[in-house]
Amino acid sequence: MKKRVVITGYSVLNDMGKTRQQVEEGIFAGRSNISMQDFEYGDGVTTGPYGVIQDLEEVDPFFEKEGLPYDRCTQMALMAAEGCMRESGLDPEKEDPFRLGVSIGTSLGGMHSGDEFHKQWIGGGLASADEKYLYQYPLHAICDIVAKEHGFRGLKNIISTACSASGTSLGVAYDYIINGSHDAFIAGGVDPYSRFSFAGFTALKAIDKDFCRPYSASTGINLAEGAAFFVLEEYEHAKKRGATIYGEFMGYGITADAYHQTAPEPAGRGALRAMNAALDMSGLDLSQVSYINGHGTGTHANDSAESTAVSAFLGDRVKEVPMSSTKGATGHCLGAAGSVECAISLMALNRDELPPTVRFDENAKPIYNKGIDYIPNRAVGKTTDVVMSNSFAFGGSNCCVVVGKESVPRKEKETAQERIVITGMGCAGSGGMSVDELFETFKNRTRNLKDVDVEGVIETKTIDCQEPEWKKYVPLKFIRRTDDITKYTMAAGKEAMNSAKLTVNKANMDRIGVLYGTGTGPMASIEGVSRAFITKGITAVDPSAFPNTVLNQAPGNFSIAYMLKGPTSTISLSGTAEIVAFQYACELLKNDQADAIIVIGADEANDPMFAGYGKVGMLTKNGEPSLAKGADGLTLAKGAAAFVLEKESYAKARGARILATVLAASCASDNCALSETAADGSGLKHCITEGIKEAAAGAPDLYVCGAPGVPGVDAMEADVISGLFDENTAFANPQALVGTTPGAIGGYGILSALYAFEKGEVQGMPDGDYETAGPLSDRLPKENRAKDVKTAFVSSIGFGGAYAGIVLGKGEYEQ
Amino acid sequence: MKESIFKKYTDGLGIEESYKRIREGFAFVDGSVFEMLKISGSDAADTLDKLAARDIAYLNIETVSETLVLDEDARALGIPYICRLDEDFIVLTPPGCEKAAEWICEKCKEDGVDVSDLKEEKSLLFIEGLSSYKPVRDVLGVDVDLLPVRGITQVDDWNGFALTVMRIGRSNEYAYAVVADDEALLKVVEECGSYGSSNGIEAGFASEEAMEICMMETNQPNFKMLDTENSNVIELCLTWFAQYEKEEYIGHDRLMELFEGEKAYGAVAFKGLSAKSAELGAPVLLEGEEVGCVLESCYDPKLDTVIGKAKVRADLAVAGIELTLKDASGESRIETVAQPFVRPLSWDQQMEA
Repeated sequence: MKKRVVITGYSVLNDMGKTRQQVEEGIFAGRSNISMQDFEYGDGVTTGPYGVIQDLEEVDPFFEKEGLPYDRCTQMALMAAEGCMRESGLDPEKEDPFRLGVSIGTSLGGMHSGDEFHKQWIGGGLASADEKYLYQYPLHAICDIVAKEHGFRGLKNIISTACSASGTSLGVAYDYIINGSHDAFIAGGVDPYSRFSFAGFTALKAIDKDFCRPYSASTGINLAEGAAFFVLEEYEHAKKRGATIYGEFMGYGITADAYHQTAPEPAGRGALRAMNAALDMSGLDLSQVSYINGHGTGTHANDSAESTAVSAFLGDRVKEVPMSSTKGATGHCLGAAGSVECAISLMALNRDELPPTVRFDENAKPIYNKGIDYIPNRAVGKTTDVVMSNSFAFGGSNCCVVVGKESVPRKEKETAQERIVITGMGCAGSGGMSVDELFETFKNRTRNLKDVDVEGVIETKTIDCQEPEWKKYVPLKFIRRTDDITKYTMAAGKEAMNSAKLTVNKANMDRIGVLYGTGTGPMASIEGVSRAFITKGITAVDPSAFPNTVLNQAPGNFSIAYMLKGPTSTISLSGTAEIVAFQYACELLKNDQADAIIVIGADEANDPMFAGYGKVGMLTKNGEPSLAKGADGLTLAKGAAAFVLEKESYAKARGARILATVLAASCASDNCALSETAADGSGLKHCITEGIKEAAAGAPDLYVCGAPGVPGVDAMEADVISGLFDENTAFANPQALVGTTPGAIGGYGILSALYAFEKGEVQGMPDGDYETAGPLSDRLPKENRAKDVKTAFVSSIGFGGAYAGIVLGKGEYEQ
Repeated sequence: MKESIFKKYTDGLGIEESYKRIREGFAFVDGSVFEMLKISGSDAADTLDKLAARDIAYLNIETVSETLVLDEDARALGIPYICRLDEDFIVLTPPGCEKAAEWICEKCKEDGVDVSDLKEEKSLLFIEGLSSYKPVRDVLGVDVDLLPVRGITQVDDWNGFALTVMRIGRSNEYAYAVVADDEALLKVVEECGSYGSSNGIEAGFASEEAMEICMMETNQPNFKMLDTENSNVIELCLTWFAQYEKEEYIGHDRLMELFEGEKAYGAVAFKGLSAKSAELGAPVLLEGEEVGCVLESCYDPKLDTVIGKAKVRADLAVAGIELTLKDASGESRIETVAQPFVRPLSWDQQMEA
């Protein structure tokens, strides 16, 4: 019987209040607390409407304990996490910590910290900028902090797809509970107020000069900050401990528009498919839906497309099922919007009352004549059993989540849970602009380094790779308007699709998705926009540059180019990003959300990246490869690695060549200091042993290392794997050859495994005057070794203590 | 050649009534003057991409590209509409672009790509005009708000017929092309025509001559008139139908040579001051010196003068210069002007609900 996922605690904070009760009271009273706020830029102060948490003066003891500067996003996340955990009564001390995960959606994360660092850099030079501001800047830092504060050691996941981020993060938590690997998650979303966002949306002319009026006037958005976290828990687990159940998370749907960088597809077809997928997954009938909490941003583009989609979705029921937007009340919380609105949806369930669309002009002629009741201005009482909540994002990423009362009857949807296979592979960047070139790199163990100097402050080395002739790899219309990370992503993705001979047509485009993993995303674009408004002012922000700062632009553009309209998402983690994206793709395929998914991992290596990693002391100076005895840091490199994953039956039906079969997926984490890993190796060991147990194929023939060249991390992995595996398991270390592309570490690891499967040899370490670290000194030779590799464990390691691995079997693997 | 199914409607059509239907109501325009090819097969996109000056390889499903097609010497063969349905394409070549159709057929056969004459199975009808979206929405059931320019939608069952509707046309008013069985299109004409009458809209067939006037007014090239042998793509002002960053297509290299070379001539619009006609190829003079020739022209009943496009010495390809036209009827005066000659009302009037 399929597992169920319930909500046993939740907490919200936004401009309505710092507690769930305050937010609930304000929403259902029909109030709005959006206010005029000042934002400082290089050309002076700009004022505009923004929903800001009032009197947020609390300072969590975390900051002093960790010796870190205050960061608003961290503060909000800690408050929301504390709130939902307190309410749930879940005691991590009584649980298996590896079965407790954290999944958070965010667009900005520690942007306040990043902004401060950047301001200092621009104002006084890189040497004067305080690196302490960098620890909370990467998006995954919030996950690391929340997990550590509550002792959770399972999956750590960040979804960064702008407006649809936190809805999707709830969905990921749901999937990982349903698959039996986790008992509970802290899941939700958080985004602080930010002058970055205000500048970007102002440049796009998307901001309403006044307070927004979704669905009635639709003259623009009001931005806002917010956080909403939930304890999502497996039903039997919750019942057993006597937890209060606030509602049930019944299902969700994610799709891509594949239409435009920022505007939604006018017919709302992607949104419609997301709602249909959510309803289908939930096992509900349309007649059971009571209310829709709309995305309702207040822009004409969204409100029109959404109204069209919802009208088509509801059909004859359009007059019975109201839809309101609560963004008129709270503003648009960006990455947190999905979770804040899911929380409001839960409130509606528990109150049997529907929140209004505030500032709805009831006297104006209806703009969207679709027969929808937008619940103007006053909450209405209604028995509410099931609520659907929509979130539609830049790049055409759509998400719909379904929550309902525990008592609502549902049909159980059986899925075949079939095997997942890899049918295509591609890469671009360091190591080669194609798999053939990369495999030559593996064969010849070549490694070309070049020096990097950032303002004389950061001196390091990177892998030398020539600027490609992009027109060979990327559709022309994308070359001018996209940044490098997008181009590398598209090049690798294109090769993977070609190698899988996967053609897209009307029959399959809705069933092919894109999942993307990245460490830091489009740093060059983010730095560019930031520099513009710091040095020159808000008017210097280029409206065509701002969309490129959103992390899901790369997969969004890829979807547009290849008309891929299936599930799409972006995972932003340190070294585990691509493997977690890969694992999530497997879940989506097993749950029949798609027939094929292209998984791509990518990252840049440019001055902002070198500056950031360098200032916290993570970069190599001597250039020795990872797992070398003298390795003194990362050799940061740019690139992308991509794979086509398919349901085995789908691949066989179309006669695809199967490169590998996915036998298992596993994850674990440490509760250690930010940007470190725990020295005891317990997290990595748990990840490896769980993966091997699930694969049930014995010790793998090959273990592909995740060590990035940072001494403590390398030593930890070396100890763990030399203890776990005897000489029958060969080791490979692709990062020693191609450097470390954080978002694609796992991808290059998979390519190393596929190389071994195809060529019958394990790649060795590069030539050079160095020794390999202690326990691995004779197991990572400077030569390739012939070996018939049938199974491989591909490992990835993330700073902040995150581990994710997959076990692959060669071809159509059978034991 | 199959006779047009609309012949009975188009014989004897007057220019002025036709023009009025396009500019003020809606008009049916006989598509039988187009070539209509079906191109299919896994290599169809790549072959067409090689021939077109705009990207076809990544052309989205249910989207149309209006693209220049050149030969190896960068001579303009035509500007077909390449319409991607799914893995298959329909290529529609306007009158005067027959060389483009032949070229496409030849190259498809060389590459082993299936190409067939779709006119053997289907016919083509255009519905163009200020109010053309109304019958397309209210009679054919197409959600016109959601069909973008150069978008394609399928109507699976309209009175038992399947229709392929594309938002393309030559008049620069709201415009749609319908590809369907003969019987279906005749019914479309009947029902849309009735709709027009019932709603007080000026509707009916329009002549090809009236369409050519509308094209001339809004700078839509008319290959029936253009002398592509003696004037190059730049001189004919056709390069805006090419994608400037695309490099891999037949004719590109020679086109780049033309761009980089000396551009002795350019194209400019003109209207008659004393002239009421302008023969194609007729010399154009400035102070007695021949400085160019007439590329396209027609008499415009709305403006009551001749309008056209001339190839002139590059420094004269600007508005506001008075020139002399010399043709069989003698010398007459013309003035260079900026386009469009007539601003279509569709550009400024939103679709009514």
